[in-house]
Amino acid sequence: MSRTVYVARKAGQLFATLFFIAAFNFCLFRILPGSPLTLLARKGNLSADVVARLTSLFGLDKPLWQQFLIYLQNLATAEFGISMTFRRRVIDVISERLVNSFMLLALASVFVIAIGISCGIVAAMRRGTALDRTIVVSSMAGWSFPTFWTGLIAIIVFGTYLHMFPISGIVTPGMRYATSWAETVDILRHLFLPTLTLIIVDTAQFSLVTRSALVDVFTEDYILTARAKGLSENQVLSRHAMPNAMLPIMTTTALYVSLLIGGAIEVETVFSFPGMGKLMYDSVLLRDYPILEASFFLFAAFTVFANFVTDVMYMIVDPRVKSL
Amino acid sequence: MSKSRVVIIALVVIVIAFISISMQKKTEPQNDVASSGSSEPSEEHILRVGWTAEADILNPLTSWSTEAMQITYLVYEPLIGYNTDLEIVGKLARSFETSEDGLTITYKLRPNAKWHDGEPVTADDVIYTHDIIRETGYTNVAQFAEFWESVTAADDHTVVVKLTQPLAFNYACLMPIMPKHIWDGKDGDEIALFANEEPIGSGPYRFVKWEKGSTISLVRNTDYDGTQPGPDGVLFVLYGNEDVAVQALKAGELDVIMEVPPTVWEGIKDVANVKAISLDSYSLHEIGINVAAESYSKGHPFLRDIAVRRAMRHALDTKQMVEIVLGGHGDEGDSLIPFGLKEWHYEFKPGERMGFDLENANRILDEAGYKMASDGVREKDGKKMEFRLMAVEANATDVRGAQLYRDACAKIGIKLTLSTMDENTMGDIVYNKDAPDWDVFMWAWDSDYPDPAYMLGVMLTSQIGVGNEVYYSNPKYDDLYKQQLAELDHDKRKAIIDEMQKMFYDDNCFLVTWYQDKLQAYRTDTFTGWKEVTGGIIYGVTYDNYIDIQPVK
Amino acid sequence: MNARGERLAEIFSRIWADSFGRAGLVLLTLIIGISILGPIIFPFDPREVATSASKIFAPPTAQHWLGTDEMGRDIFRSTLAGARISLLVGITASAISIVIGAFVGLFSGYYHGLFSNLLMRVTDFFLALPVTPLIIVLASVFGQNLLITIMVIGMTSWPSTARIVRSLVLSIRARQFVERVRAIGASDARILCVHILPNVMPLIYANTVLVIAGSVLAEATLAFLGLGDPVRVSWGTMLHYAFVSGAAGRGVWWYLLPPGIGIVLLVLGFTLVGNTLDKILNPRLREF
Repeated sequence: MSRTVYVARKAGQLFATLFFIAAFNFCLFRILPGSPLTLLARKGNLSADVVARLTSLFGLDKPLWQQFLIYLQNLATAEFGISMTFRRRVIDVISERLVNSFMLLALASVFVIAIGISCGIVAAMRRGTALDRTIVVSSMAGWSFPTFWTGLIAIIVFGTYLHMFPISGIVTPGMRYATSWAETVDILRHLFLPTLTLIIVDTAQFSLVTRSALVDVFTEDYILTARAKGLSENQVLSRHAMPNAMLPIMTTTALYVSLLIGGAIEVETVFSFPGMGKLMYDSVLLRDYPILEASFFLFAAFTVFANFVTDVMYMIVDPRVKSL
Repeated sequence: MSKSRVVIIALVVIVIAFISISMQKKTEPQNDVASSGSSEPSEEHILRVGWTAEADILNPLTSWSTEAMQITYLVYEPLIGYNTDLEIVGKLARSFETSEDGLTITYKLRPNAKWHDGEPVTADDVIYTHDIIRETGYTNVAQFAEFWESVTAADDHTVVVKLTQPLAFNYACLMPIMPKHIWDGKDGDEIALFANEEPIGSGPYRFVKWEKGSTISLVRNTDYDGTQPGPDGVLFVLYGNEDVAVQALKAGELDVIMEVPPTVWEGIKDVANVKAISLDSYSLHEIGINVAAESYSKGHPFLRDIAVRRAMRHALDTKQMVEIVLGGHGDEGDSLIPFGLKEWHYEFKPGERMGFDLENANRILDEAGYKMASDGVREKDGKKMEFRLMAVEANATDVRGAQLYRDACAKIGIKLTLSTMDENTMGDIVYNKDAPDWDVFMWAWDSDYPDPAYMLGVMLTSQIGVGNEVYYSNPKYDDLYKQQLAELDHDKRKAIIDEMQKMFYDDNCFLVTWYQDKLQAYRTDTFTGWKEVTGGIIYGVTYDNYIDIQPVK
Repeated sequence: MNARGERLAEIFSRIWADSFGRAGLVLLTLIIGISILGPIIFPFDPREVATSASKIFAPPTAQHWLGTDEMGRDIFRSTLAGARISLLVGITASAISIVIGAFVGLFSGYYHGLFSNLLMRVTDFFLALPVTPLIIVLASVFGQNLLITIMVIGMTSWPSTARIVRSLVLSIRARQFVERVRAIGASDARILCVHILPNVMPLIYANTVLVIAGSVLAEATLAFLGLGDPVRVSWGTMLHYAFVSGAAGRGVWWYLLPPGIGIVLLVLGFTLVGNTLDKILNPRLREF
């Protein structure tokens, strides 16, 4: 099969999956009990007529298939409808948060992947030593930490007792910055604890996978041959071992995207970080269907897309990949 | 291309993306006055308010969050409002006058009042606001629209409101006046979806900016011709929970917090430069019992037996709840009208109150023929005395209270099965007015304004499925409600209201558990002149603390 | 003692021989022992609440070894009681997950056809959905009690098991002996039960233990976000109440540490045993 056909097929699957996610997403949120408008009536003493008007404005009184068509139409135009809570376009509400989440997650994943892979390499190269065991044990311990709990402990240690880092939000409220550099520093300070939490919990996946992949590779004949040829350990690693250990690491990276989103919800809740994760959790409580639908769809689409990219990268990294 | 390079390139792309995003953040405009804290601290005195929920929308006609109301009442002025002594005083109206018969109210507007865009405020704006509310039914003022006979302009700055009957409560304090030149032409649907991202009002503060998920900033309106606010601006800061907000208050990053949970409040009593206050409030928590008529109720039939409900009242240990659940920060509940409403709250006479008394509860149930079975749960006609009990998961105090109540009821042979859910779900179950399929719940009410009409109005037959959550229906009660609303004589009105409270209490379908104190805290080293008011120094019914406080010199 | 018992004993002794495995076994025995005996020796009654404010958030004393919570209840005792629920959810949820995952994996790996293709698409589909948002949404749709927590976690964690089982079944199926057995006319059911299943079981065992670890974490997360069963105390619910009552800001470490450490040790125990089991039972299957 040629590369183009392979990519085209994967892309086809990508779109099919996206459609099913859209449909699933729609059904999921229609079975949620509770109309977001019930409580408005209780709180604001609105008359039943007003509630009926709002209900019809949000299309909640239409038959389900019509709601579905409207929903698809909205998706196609990247117009996710209007948030029931904020009465603003969902895309606007989300894009404000998306930037923040992306910042946190990009920063965290760079560190997680870099630290994880380096620890894995070190452990594999020093296999059987005390260092190796330390890395393996601490990785397993880190993996066992619930993300939210790690965040809480970080708050107690660095916030409540040491007062070293801010424990909430993304900037210091009410601050006007003398220089743009000062603002960057402020944002980075706020990112520190959430990022640290994700690093502590998530690094393990990469260190363990890298280690075991390398340990497997090191037993292969061609590595022995390479060593026999007199290549240094570093050369063996970079020229022969790492390229072959890349596949499992990439698989882990693809899976990590999905986990990262989960981590974002927990971390953003604990640190009240104004990102997508917190928005999604808040929206569940507020029953803001349009926001929930859009954010769930975006999360899922992001994961699917990451898988697609991984598939294509597989192909580049490993020309043997045919149809899987 | 070597394989490892692919990965390195991918990582680099991510890093670059991150850097470019943080660069983009930096280029945001720096000219917002209110959010200036550090550059010239000696001249700017911004009041920083901590809250834990995001405002929903800054459209005064459709917003429903308390947070949004704080903003809209500072930006948009009502004709009249409560001062810090809880007296009604003129706001946008320089003066107002009610005729002898109570049927005509004349408002004189401040002649120099201007909208934030420079246009003058005129009587037309007041008329427009009345019209749009009557037309759309938005805001809780709409319930009074049926009493408006006419709203007319005597001149540019004089508004005459004619009523069809006298009103004991003047709704105008709940009605921010809207600028006609901006809102005119919008119909109900358009207004429902109008985000009003740049509110233009006539109030003492101008809106500056809303950083979504983070802050809302206001700046003092220097053109305001009433009392100029003490602070140069107000900055509302969103925190994930009260806990973090309290940390910020202690660290001096905040000046005042709207609500402090009891457990946290104890921890800040002794912090230097921080004053923790405990105020009576207009809120109540209650155990609601489904008394919907048999024809459509899906609730347990035993609950329609007044004897069962009396026993359930006797099983309610309000004293224990206040101590354990509120840590002592509240008052024991009895009447529908919260304790904070002072003279309106009915003082029960000895013997009228059904206190915590398990023996008595057991006796009542025995006498009513509910036999104790071997499993400790009573039964009658083959039906077990098992009720479902619901509470809102996020309201920790309710869940605690529900747990305590469940345990108390177990001792009189009533089995309550507790489930918790989010507020929307519970709202839908409770307000499913065609077939209310629930037995007992634990929930709360907050009176939006300090007049007994608010809470009394909730229990009207006409409010069933909208506000009336226990499906209480009593023609005599409905009738008395109408009487008190039109009664201008204070003492006569009080007599009617006392009777209503007593009547409602005896029907035992709405067991008030406690009146929670409003716990707040503020810093004493930034602003002075905070006046402690029932309902809260902020987030209560008065907005004057935002104006009256002065920076510490 | 039959052959199966001996095999089990052998597996245990091999896990014990591995130092990680041994650590895991010790942890698990400890926690399971605590969860069974703890509440018997130190019974916990959630109704026993404090009657005075001074007993709320009280630090550890001789009377309350781990202090008291926001309702004045003994944290030592509630931690012991919480172990049961966390374990129960972990084990039952992963049982559901494994049964579904194994069935889907076996079926779609063995048969080729429309239905099995469809199953695989469904698996891929669920694998593509981000799990945490999915669980949150499902839990809030179906309400909050123990059974629903178990079902939601079980129903969302099976796809990875299905994937792994399927790839093993595919490779076994391609082996010569299966072709030979089929040639002599064995039925599909027989091939599946006699020839394939026994080869897949070790993988399923090892996977089960690892899935339990994941389920314990998932339960804790759900409960922490306020979507757990409020009536039954689990470690996750304890942390939820600790969070909402502001324990972190007041520095009430004695409320945050015990349930958190409990979760960590439990998950760690299952992970260590699972990995060791994996190493012992599936020596060639560790590429991915």
